[in-house]
Amino acid sequence: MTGLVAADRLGLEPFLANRVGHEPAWLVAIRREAAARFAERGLPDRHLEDWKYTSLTALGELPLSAPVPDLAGIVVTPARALQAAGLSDWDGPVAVFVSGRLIPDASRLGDLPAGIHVTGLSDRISAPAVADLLKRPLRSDDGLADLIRALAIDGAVVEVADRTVSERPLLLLFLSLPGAGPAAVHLRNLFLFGKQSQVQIAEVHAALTGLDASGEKDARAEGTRAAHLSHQISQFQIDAGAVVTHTVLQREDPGCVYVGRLEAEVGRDASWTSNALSVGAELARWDLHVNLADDGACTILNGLYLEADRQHVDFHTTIDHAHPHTTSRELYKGVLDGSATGVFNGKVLVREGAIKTVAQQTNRNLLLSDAAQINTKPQLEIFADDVKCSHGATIGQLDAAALFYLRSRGLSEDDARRLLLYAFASEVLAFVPEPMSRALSGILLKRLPAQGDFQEVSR
Amino acid sequence: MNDDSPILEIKNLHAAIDGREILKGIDLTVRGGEIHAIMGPNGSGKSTLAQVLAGHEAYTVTDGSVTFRGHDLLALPPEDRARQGVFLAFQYPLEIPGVANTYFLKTALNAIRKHRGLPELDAMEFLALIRQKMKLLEVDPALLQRAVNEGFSGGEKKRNEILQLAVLEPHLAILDEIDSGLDIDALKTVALGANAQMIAADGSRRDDRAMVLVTHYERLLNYIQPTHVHVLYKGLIHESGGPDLARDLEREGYARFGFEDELAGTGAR
Ligand SMILES: Nc1ncnc2c1ncn2[C@@H]1O[C@H](COP(=O)(O)OP(=O)(O)O)[C@@H](O)[C@H]1O
Ligand SMILES: [Mg+2]
Repeated sequence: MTGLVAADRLGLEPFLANRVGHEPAWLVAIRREAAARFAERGLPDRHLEDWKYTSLTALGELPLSAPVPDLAGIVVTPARALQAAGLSDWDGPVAVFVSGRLIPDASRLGDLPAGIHVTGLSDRISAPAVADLLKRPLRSDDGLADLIRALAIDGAVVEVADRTVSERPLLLLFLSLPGAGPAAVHLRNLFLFGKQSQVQIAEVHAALTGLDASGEKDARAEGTRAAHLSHQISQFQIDAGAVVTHTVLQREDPGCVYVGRLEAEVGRDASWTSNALSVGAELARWDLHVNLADDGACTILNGLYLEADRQHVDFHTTIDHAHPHTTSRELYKGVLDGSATGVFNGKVLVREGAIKTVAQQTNRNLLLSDAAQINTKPQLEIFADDVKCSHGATIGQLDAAALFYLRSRGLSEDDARRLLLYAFASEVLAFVPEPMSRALSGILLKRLPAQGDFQEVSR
Repeated sequence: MNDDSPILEIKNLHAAIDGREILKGIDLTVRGGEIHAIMGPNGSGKSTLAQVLAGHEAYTVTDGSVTFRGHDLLALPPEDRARQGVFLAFQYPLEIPGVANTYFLKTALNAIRKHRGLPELDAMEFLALIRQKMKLLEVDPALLQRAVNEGFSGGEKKRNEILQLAVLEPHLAILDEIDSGLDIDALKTVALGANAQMIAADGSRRDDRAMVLVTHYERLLNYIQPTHVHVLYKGLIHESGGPDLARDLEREGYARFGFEDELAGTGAR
């Protein structure tokens, strides 16, 4: 693609014109530089090793930039937002973002525990820690990363003070407006966890469908295939001794192309657990990049993807063991039905001197139809001695013997299948905190033999 | 079904797997109140018979018929056989990681109750029932909260099969090598459960229920008294008789029939 066409497609100048006076000069400079870089390389395609099995051609000629959404007429209440996310019974703190913009009226931030602050990125750019992160290069280095740096309109900033301890997750809802809002939304989220803090963050990414501005039902019924791009990079800075769990449930509508990138810097003796749950969108690309940046840093990555029809999902994970005594454990499980396709690529880099590294990677897949496909590849690059690294990948069908056993006890074939699928998924669900585990098991349980409860079904 | 028709009637049953014929013309009639022991050396086709009766799709029935309480059993998928009252205790019970044993049992019981037009049990009612059965069978209540058979010892798996039998109360229970690998305590539990299945509340023998015990050894028959004993070898029933036949086998071994237990390694025909 030529630079001119690309720049045109970005619509950068009108975008910038809107932001003059709102943004510091250094940020505008970053945007211009990133747009120029994008003009050179465009969207990533199959020529890049990391994009061999995933094509963004679904985006077609979609405008990649759009004016900042006019949300003036959109009425969103906390109840409505939680309903869109499938978490109607959540009564804890929630921050609601529509097309990336924090909507205070739709949020419930009054009962946030002391030491936790949630703001919209556009209101927080001047904070030194935030500016510092925005100026730093991203781990992701491709045309999509350029787009974020050039066009990110907003996002969440979560700051957690040193030694803040909270059991209850903070819930962030990212709601898109397919067909009404901008066709492409690029977000940057920043998470800063102070020393020895212990918190849980949960996110849901979903479409706000079925309502027009006045709250009436409109033509945008559930399941509408309006093409749109939901694109975000979340950066996590986890200071020494902090213990952080971050869970994302992606249940976008079928017309969505979803790109979610998580970049974590994990400090000394700190730990970052990521649960990534991908069930929606026609194409979902996940990149997780974890830098175990000091001695004793630890990460646990769990993932679950449930794909059907012609859905495509791609998980690329990179764990950088840069220091001694660092630990990583990955468990990704997927169920693919119909003609769904999937990719798992797990890179583990153990740098020279990172002795006593322990890295364990597991990817298990169930293919429910002949047309479903998965490409799974471990990628271990080990430059240190005295390390323990292991990996395993499986691709299989539902266990026929187990199916027969269940049927021989009176369960219908359908129920037996669903129960085995639930059992397969529950290994990942066990890591997921409320309310996400409840929402996700709800999605799974809807089709279980008896009205069960997650705790009741699971071992 | 009229009252004197048998629970199970097998006629000239032939079954094959992967094109190889394993059952070569089985005839067997089991009436209410009867306990039939099917004995025979390893590889005779005992488990094949049990699996064919339960409806395993890997086996093809090439000839013959099976009638269960007046219905054509072979026409039914496995779940409908279970719902109509066929129960197979597996020689090798399957492990189902991630599914709690209690949920599995409740789902199975309610599937069967629904089929019989009985109201489904809620969690409390089910718990009351299962507690009573577990007490009777001296099964460790901890097994309920664990995943189905996952990490169970051999004995625990067999006890769990018997617990399912006690909960599901089938018309026909087929127990495949329920005694293998059991210590004496577990064997007693298993026998207790099996015998309870056949006895009505007033102590009389239930004539709406029957049992087929598949076993390799005679030991089990000291605890569960069969009414009939059959010797199966190479896919055919070679001899049928009363409890005495089992005693003869114990004394003489299968040599009496001109064949040896293949497991014993003699390989004699
Ligand atoms: N699933 C199977 N696939 C292939 N052969 C089988 C299978 N099941 C049983 N057989 C064969 O059928 C014969 C009878 O086996 P089985 O019914 O298990 O005997 P038994 O239970 O009396 O020991 C054996 O020769 C065995 O190898
Ligand atoms: Mg056998």
